[in-house]
Amino acid sequence: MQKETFNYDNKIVRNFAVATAIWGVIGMLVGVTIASQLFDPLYNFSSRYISFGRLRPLHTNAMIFAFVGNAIFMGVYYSLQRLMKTRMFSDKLSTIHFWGWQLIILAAVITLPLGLTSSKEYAELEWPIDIAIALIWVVFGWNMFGTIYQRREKHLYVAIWFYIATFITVAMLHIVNSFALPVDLFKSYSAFAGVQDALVQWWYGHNAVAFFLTTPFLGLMYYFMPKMANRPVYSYKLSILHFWSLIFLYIWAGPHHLLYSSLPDWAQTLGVVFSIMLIAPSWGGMLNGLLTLRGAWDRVRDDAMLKFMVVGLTCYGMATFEGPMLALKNVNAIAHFTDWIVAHVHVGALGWNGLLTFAILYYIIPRIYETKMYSKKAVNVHFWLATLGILFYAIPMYFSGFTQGLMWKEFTVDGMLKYPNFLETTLQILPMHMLRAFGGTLYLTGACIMVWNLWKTARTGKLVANEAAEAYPMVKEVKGEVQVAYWHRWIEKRPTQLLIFSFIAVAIGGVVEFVPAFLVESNVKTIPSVTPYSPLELEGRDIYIREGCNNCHSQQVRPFRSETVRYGEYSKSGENVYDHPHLWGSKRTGPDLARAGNTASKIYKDAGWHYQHMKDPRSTSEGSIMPAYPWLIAEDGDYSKIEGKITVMRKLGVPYVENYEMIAQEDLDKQAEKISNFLLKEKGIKVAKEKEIVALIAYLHKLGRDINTKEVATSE
Amino acid sequence: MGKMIGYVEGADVYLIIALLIFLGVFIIAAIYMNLMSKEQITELANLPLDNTNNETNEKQN
Ligand code: HEC
Repeated sequence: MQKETFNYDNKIVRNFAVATAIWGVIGMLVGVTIASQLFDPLYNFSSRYISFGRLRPLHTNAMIFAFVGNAIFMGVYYSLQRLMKTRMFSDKLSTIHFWGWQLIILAAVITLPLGLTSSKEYAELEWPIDIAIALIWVVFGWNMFGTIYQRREKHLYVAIWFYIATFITVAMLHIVNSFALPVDLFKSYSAFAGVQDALVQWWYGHNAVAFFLTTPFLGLMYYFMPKMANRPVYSYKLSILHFWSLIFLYIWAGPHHLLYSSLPDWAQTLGVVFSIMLIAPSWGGMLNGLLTLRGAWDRVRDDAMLKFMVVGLTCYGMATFEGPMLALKNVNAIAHFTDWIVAHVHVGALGWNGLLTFAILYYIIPRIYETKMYSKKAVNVHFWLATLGILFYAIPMYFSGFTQGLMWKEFTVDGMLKYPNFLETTLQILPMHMLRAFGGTLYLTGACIMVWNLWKTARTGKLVANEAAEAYPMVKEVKGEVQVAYWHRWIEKRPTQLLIFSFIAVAIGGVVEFVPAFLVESNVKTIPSVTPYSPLELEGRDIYIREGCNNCHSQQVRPFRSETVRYGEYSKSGENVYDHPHLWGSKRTGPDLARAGNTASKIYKDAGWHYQHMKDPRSTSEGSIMPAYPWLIAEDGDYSKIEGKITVMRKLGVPYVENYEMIAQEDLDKQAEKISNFLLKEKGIKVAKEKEIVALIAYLHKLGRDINTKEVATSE
Repeated sequence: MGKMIGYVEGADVYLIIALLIFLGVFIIAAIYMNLMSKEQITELANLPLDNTNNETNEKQN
């Protein structure tokens, strides 16, 4: 048989590599900025566009989808061609994929600071961008499968299994979680409400970690680790078991983000059990990677690239051990909502995703430019800066997390909260936040050195855009003897089967969790006193979403004495049935607000207080790190879409009376006037009823009001 | 407490079903893995490495 000659497309790999590096630096810069805002809010320079609530989603989206996303595509396009011994299926699709993805990121960079957000964590982008993501993702899958179908190598190496599972699962997660009804081009409401929205959101959110930050990187690890160490993976058998166990177990673990919430107990238990089982495949994978270096440990000492891999895998091991621990209910009771979780994700993101990405960049760039790294020393410096950066980030944040968790729960001997004022717990952790920002700066500096070094490397070489290669064509199997002998190898050669089986493995978890949660009536006990939002409250809620208050405030009181004493009655699922989307949040940089409108709650503040506090939080709460929102006071709200909003909400099942949208504007004005009058008469504060602050106050006073146990008559 | 947060009668059955399905997946994967011969395993494990056309690049780093 004759060998065939063909070319690998290195240009597309290079493009994704450049995008990875650039977006990485930008994303980290945004990260350091918001980290600084968490010890001094003045680092938002009084600009609404870079205020914490708007910038944090930009940071998370940039790191996940721009930095890690482009890194995935870089690694996949490089390894897939070589494993399949063929060029990518279509250069055109590659180009569309590349530019499409960059445009999506650009859209995120523009819309998120503008406050155009769905508020769903790690899925904040509004619906038109969501559709674009789905389309570009399909282009990626099409190109990948096209390449696989035209391959010259029969067998699908395990890395490709991980790529296939990534493709199909991310498609499923993204599509289901993005179900929403648009009000207009820039605004939509989640199709799900309250506890169901939370369940879907964390099924998505958790599995974004699993299938965007983990499985593709495991695939890359299974390809690049053997390449870098120049020896096969430690155990291929283990990698098969690793693959199936991991993808099957991961999908169930989402509810561990909702422990002690009003999610039904059975779903919480499912999340806990599967999270704990996840230790096994995660550590199996980590050991498989590390043991690939058996007999080559001496090389780790001199090869900075391998150092990145080793520390990266170790961070993976730490994060995947810690994750299941955090899913234990008693640990979660302390850790949830605190900085501990932030430390946890950064061990994963900076350690596992970051360090592996750096190693892969250092591997690929000199090869496709046919040269050597410009400065080996700089690679080493980068390694130490990154490692120190992770330590300086994680250790203070763990400390901060424990501190918050314990202070929130501490009682005095007389049974009173030791720190009834939330602000005290905030002030305690500010030094930790400073250290964390320092750690982030170290890490960012390392990344900048890398960009410089890669740039210099590229300059000394020349891009081999089309790398010549040769391989024997794939032999078509003859039916009969071959198949009998190899019957159990079928899946290694059948990408379609692999796709279908991976899909079944990941779909089972979702179906078992969702169907009962959506169908069984008793899961969500309706509470008769809970009413839909008034038009003004709905507009206030949309301002809350626009400003991203949910990035610092939770709205879910857990059933602990420490929380019911601090905030009031614990949250019930029936309270959120009209919440499209839910706003439970995941972090308490500020206090929980689920009872902000409940006059029986200690957290209740009157309209005058809210006005002062929103204008300048430090005037009411000395040393607060909450940003000021002067524009809410200065500017009129745009309520021209209220009719459409009410109509959409009704379509989603919110029981507004027929034709209510016609008088919504009128109702809105009436309620706004009441608040404006209260402020003037009782507090001497002059605020026109059109101002946004009025709507926000109306919303804050709706939170928990419907389950008011102490019927105190207050006029807002 | 459990009752108040919303408890579905007999829902623990979901947990048991889920664990059984996983056990099934795990056993099938384990059997499948063990049916592969040593040569096949070696062949598969070496897929990323047998990259003859890359020889020149390999030596450089
Ligand atoms: C950077 C994080 C952060 C963001 C973003 C943020 N807050 Fe806060 N918030 C805090 C902190 C910290 C406190 C506690 C100190 C204080 O009272 O200012 C707080 C306190 C509050 C309180 C007082 C609760 C009480 O009764 O003690 C309210 C109400 C509040 N925030 C509403 C909002 C709203 C509305 C938004 C969005 C427009 C928002 N916050 C955005 C951090 C934040």
